[in-house]
Amino acid sequence: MSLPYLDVKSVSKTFDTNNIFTDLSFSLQKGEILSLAGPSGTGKSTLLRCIAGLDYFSQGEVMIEGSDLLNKQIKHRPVGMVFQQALLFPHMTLLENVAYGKKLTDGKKQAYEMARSYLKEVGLDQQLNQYPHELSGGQQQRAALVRALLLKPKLLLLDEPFSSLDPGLRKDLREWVRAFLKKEDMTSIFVTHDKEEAMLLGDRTAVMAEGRIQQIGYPEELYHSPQNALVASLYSDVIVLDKTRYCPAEKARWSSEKTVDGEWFAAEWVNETYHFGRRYAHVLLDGGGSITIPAGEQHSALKGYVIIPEDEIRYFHAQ
Amino acid sequence: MKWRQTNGLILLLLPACAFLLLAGGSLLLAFMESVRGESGFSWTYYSALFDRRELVDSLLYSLIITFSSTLVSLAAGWLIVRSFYPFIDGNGKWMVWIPMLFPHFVWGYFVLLLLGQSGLISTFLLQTGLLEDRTLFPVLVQDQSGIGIFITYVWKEIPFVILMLLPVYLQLPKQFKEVNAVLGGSGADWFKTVEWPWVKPVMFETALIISAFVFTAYEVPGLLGVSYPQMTPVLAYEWFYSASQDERTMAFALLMFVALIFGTIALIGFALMNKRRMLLSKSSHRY
Repeated sequence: MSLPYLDVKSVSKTFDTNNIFTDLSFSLQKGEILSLAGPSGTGKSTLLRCIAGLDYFSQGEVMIEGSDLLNKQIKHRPVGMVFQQALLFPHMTLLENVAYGKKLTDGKKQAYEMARSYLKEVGLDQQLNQYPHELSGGQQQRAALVRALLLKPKLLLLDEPFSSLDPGLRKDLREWVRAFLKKEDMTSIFVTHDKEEAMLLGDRTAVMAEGRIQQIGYPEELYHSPQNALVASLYSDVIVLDKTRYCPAEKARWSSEKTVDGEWFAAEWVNETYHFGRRYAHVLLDGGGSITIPAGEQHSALKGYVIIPEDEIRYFHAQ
Repeated sequence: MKWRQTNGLILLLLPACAFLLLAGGSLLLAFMESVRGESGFSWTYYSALFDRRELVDSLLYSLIITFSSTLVSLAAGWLIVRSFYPFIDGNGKWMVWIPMLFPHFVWGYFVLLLLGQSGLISTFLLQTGLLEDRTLFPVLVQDQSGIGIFITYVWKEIPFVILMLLPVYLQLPKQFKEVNAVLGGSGADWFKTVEWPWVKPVMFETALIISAFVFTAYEVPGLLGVSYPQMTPVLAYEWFYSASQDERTMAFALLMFVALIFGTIALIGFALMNKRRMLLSKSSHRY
């Protein structure tokens, strides 16, 4: 096993007396994309900002290709960052914007040449002299990505770059971004609070909640074998029974009567939806919380029971 | 009701029209006065303006005071805003308004009372024994080099510059600071790429307002100036009230000439900066 390309070791961030996150560790191989998923306010963006140098870790170490990243000044860190908004300078043309960082190090001629070639590659060569407000949201984000990549960073940080886009554009762009990052062999950390987006973009996903990485692994590991109730509820489609047990939602069923085989919850049928030809029931549990389960051929009834078959109950395997 | 719906826009525009009529009408009347020769229309008074030695001296004197006081006010106000805006929250902004409550004349009178040879400072120095005689106190007001006028304007316009620039600084797009930093930019790059483009239009407007005011306002040089050289507005005032009809017409010609120069500078400046202003207003930053 080769040494990791990026090694984040026991980093913590404290603000006043509040711990934003504590003792986070993970590593990435060259060209790997890590999705960092989790609810808002868990410090995902702060983690990226600390790695980029826009904020400081309270403790910990970050090594990139064996050298200490945190000792370097922000402008000397080989890290690129794409923000939630494209943040293109509004008074500069697309070409000027994309070439901005490169121009500072390599001069105007080389920066413009490289920017032109990249913009051609991403299909924006017809918009070189347009101003950001003349471009669509998707075009702006693509330009922001190219602007960061032009500096050939060793690590690219993407902080919810699609959150300001409408759903259609978002879907197209995330597929394009993954393909582009893979083509560039760019090691990246991608922050999102959308589990589908995390699965689509990342080679692996880290679920971050309550100031810790709760689980890190391949999408199927996280989805099918969540290590705890938090990961299960954030990343997987399961019914959490208690701190140790869960049942995949697809194994539960709706019934108008209780069962003796397995467990049941009294619930109220709220409505139903269809997904890939299957019918799903959205039910409100009497004990609180709402879940989605396969509706089967059952006729919708206002009151009924969510049945958990005994042999489908599984256990969290915290490591 | 229907009449109101149809003519609502015209009603709303009435105050603006009244203002334009007043300013535009005055300008037109002044122009007509300035080209009224003995036998009808004439440019004579314009061409005769620069034959008057006192006008050439006055223009030079006015230009020096205008440029120096505008420049110093802008530089000092800008420096103060740049140094302190991170510490000013929304509640502290009202303090900047306090100096704006005093008219220029009151400020000028205050400078006279403070810095005159028989003013408060010289009296204090005399009474404490630090000064033997009032005549030894430097002539700072009603002096030939216009120091009193300069001090009054600088003192009065610095708060104005702060008032104009503070909102710009409080609304500077800080997100671009982070973009600049992660792209390897320095503080100088941030200034060149973001701060200056955002500040420049307001700086230009402020400079134009101050210089137009200093160059054309009567009260401060009237109170703190000397009989020679005089600032242009004082000269225009004297010509206007002189017994000679020719001088009255020349006063109009002089003021029209000044208005033309400032109007042209304003038009060129706005034309050059409007596109940039429009682009800046389309920024996608959030804070």
